[in-house]
Amino acid sequence: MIKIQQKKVITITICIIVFLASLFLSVMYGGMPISLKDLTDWFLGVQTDNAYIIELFRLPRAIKAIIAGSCLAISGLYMQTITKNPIVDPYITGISAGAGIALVLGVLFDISPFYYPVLGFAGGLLVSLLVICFVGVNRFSLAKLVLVGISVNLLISSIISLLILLNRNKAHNMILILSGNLNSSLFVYESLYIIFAVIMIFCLYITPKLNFLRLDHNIASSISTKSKTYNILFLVLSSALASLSVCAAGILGFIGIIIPHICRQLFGLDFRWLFFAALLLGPSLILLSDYVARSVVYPTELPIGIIISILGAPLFIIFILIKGKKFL
Amino acid sequence: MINIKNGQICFNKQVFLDNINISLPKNKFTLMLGPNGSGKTSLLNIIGGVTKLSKGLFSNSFTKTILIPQNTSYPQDITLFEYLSSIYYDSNWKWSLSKKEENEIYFILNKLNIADKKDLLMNQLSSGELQIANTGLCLLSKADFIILDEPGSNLDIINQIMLLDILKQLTTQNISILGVMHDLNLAAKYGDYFISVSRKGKVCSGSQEEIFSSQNLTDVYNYNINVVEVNNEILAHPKIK
Repeated sequence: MIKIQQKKVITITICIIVFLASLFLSVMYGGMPISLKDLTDWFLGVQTDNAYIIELFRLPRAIKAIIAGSCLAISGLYMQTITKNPIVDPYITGISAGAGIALVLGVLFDISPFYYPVLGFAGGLLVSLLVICFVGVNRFSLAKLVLVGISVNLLISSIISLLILLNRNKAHNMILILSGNLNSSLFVYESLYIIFAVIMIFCLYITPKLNFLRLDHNIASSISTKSKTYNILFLVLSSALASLSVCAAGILGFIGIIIPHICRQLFGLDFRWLFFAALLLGPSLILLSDYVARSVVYPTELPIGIIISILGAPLFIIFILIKGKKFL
Repeated sequence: MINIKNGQICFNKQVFLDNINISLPKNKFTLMLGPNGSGKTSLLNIIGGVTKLSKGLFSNSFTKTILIPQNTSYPQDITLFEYLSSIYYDSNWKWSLSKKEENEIYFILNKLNIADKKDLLMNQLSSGELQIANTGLCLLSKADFIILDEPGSNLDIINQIMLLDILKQLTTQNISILGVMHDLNLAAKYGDYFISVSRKGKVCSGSQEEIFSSQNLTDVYNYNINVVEVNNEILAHPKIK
């Protein structure tokens, strides 16, 4: 027992180191090289040009990456646990579709890019709540949710494709906005931080409950009559988290699927550890990808969503091959 | 106490079980008998409160009822100890187990003779051990009415007896138990009260003498079954041609 515990402590320490390393990389490297001295300058409040760069560009960007990464990873963790389905991602309830169509319509009607984050957030949340209502709270079933979610996703993504095909002159912008990025200037920073903090505190409060909900659905609902309510609560929470990530960084695929899997392989199904693992590893992947996206073809910046898949897919496949025998 | 009066269970407007009149005694080990597909599980779901009667009256005066279905899924990648501990995370803001809760789990593990398996992962356990683990959940849940759908179906005969002994002992601790059992001889030995569901959808309940007669069991299974009493033990033998 003690041995298992020690192993987990070591693994979480490695996760913390990975997170700090990727945070460091992403803050330090970019168009303007920044030295350690600049960092200490900024920290001590000395006003230099490079300190300004850190304060005004690098840090907000890193924070957005952290918010997006942790929201997506935790949302994916919740969604996969509640549906007991390992290939479900946070967008299953139609968040990517809702956010996508809101953004594409935003491009179509020439709405200022300033409002895109809010547009994505609202679209995603709206469609996901709609899907959950469709499935119905009273006669709620998880299989129904997954199927309705997939259908709505398919329906809306074909409408998006149609919109892209019909508007050739704006197609480039539309595709770009759909692949996610971190450089949207956000006018709702404060409210984003506050919402993120509030949701995270609520997650801290409620996450251990998943250790109970990991039991068979029938047994869980037999022991606690509220277990169905909690299932729905977790779904709504996970939709809110995913929408928040859309607000911070656009639609980023893949993270919500692979990070929960990696965490589960490292820590087993104990959500007290999984929560923090997801909280550390999700942002790490985005920060690393962001660093790569900015530094590969300087000065052009590649869409981060593409880098995440290019970087993440091989990493995940290697991980599966190493852990192969144990995997599912 | 569980009471069902003039109950009726329908599927797609077709009457499946009719005229159900059962009253389950408190602090007794009740066993349900009947052939496959006769509707035992449907009746268990009614009693466990999972589904509702199509017609008739149902009342449950137990404070907490737990029903373990026949087929359940098990989370992988956790140890047996963690599996049993899941039940304590039902409350919010529960980031660690207290010493008392841990001791309770160890107590149950020892009671069920699976303490040496506590650090094995769930997918390394046999299906019989998994069933015993589920019974462990029942014991930890503090329910005063436990419903088990075929608790012994994957157990060897020694483990069946061990499990039945534990369940029987629970009835002295203010816990009532209802289970489905296919082994008639073990059922006769351990049960205090019986419910039989016949192939034709007739539900009877009663004491050992009422249910364990050659006539009644032959009716229930639609097959010749001979009940004899040897040294105060009731033995039921299906006639094999």
